[in-house]
Amino acid sequence: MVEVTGVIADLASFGALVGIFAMLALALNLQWGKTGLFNAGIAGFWGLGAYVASMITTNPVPTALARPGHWGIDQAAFPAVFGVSTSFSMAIVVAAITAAVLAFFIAIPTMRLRADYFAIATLGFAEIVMNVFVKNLPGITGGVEGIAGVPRPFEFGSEIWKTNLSYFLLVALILVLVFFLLERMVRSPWGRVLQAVREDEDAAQALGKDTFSLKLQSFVFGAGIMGLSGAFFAFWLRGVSPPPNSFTAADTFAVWVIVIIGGSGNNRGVIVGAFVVPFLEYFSVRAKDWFQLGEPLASQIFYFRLIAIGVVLIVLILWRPQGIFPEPKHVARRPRWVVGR
Amino acid sequence: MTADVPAVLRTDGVTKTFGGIRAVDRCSLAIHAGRITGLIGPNGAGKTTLFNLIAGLYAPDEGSISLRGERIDGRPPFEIVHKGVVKTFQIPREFRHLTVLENLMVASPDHPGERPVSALVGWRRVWDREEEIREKAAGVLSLVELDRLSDADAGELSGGQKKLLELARTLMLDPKVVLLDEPLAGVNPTLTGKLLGIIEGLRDRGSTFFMIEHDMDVVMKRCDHVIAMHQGRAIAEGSPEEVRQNELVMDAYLGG
Repeated sequence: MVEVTGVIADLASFGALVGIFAMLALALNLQWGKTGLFNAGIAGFWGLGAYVASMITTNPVPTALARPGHWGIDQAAFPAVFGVSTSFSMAIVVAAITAAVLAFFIAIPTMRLRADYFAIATLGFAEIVMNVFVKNLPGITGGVEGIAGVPRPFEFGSEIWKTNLSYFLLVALILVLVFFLLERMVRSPWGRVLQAVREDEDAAQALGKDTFSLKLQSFVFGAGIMGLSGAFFAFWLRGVSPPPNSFTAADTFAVWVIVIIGGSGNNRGVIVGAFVVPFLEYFSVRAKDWFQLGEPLASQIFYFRLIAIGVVLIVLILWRPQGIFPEPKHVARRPRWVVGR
Repeated sequence: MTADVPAVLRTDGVTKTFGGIRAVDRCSLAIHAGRITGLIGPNGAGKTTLFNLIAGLYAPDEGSISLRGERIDGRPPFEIVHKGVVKTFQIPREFRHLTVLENLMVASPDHPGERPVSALVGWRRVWDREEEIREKAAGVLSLVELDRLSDADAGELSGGQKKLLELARTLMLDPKVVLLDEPLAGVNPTLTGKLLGIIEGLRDRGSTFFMIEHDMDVVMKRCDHVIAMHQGRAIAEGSPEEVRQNELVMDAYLGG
């Protein structure tokens, strides 16, 4: 019995992480897959969402001699609805909005840049936010120590498998909502005009499209979803910690790999892709126990996932550059239900 | 001859300099409604630069451009399109992974469904408008005889079909003036005839075309009015016959 609950706890935790990365991948799929925006600063929006959510769901901690403190909100101020503190819903919404607002201000000066320069600008922004600001603001962000003791929305009893499973179900529900939201938006005339911008921005402009504004909308909306994913990551990890522990360029890279493997432009595809990358990590951590590996392989196998990702990418780009699931044809489709008369 | 028809598009002393080169140099000309006006001139005369200035891709250093008396120079390209001046590209710029029909539908102006919130909510009126646009696009496609290919990816079309698509896409905008940058370059004779037939048919229904063209045979036979440019300026204008016999034009072409 211990065996079964242990497996459930482990798989549920893994599943929730897949869901969190799937949200990031869906957001990047809007920005890159549909609009052609080379966002290389995913970790920045993700991390910002995670930090904001952490501050909203924890009590403030003053800086003591040995440990940096961080901002927070007195949790007694949040009323509980059906036994769940409203601080969580507030944290999720504010995390998404903060990331979106930041994206707006970053986009204003950088959106006119060509794709490659835009990538460098967003990468630089993410590094500045996480490495310069977050790390060096003890008293606000917890400095290099980050924020610990972030709770999860549902803590059913003390058994780990119950809390992990309920958290997985919550993330899965949110992922489904995000999926349908994005799918509806992308499979509309708006999605079609974004795709036109992606294919040929000059031509879209020559047809009277305000391409700057369209790119801005896509970028800001995508960043908001990245912030939302960050909030769920903070709950999952029960805390946040700055680079090099979390929110690094490697995380940004992982989301890119997910989108390329799954199929750029296909929302179902990137959710499948979101399974692959975390699975390689999940597998490489546990392989030494599963296969009773001896040294030196036992301590080295963890790093084989990096080789595996590289091999998968090369094989895919050579033989199936459109990803596992190619982009669907016929962008805009009348949805099953419409609003109004 | 020119005075009795009102000018729809006018440039006054327009100048554009790139580094030390005056690509367009105090160029003044007028385009009259309901005509096909040809723009000729040797390579480097500034024809394409002038088109880009009119379309708003560059702002002129000096001078003004006006559409029916309203200044449009210095406005962003998408606003100029909304005011009714649409330019085609010399090399077709189709949206490769959209279908032929979608290429036309995406060109339609003022689609409420192109706003993210209405896309998310999915108003019925958005999708009703979408149907209207689909019907209009289908009509334009049959006009240019691409209706059989409406479901094909635009990237799969032949070079000539892409030229047709390029023209069809601009028609979705109901433009007041269409700027055609070498619409016949690299097009076979049969398709040339078809394209010119479509353009003339639209002209007869009141559309105005301003066309850069190198094929003198086409310019002489098909244009209603011709403007010749040399070294950034309009050096002659008039009927095709008048321009052909103009000495300045002959000198320009013979390297004068």
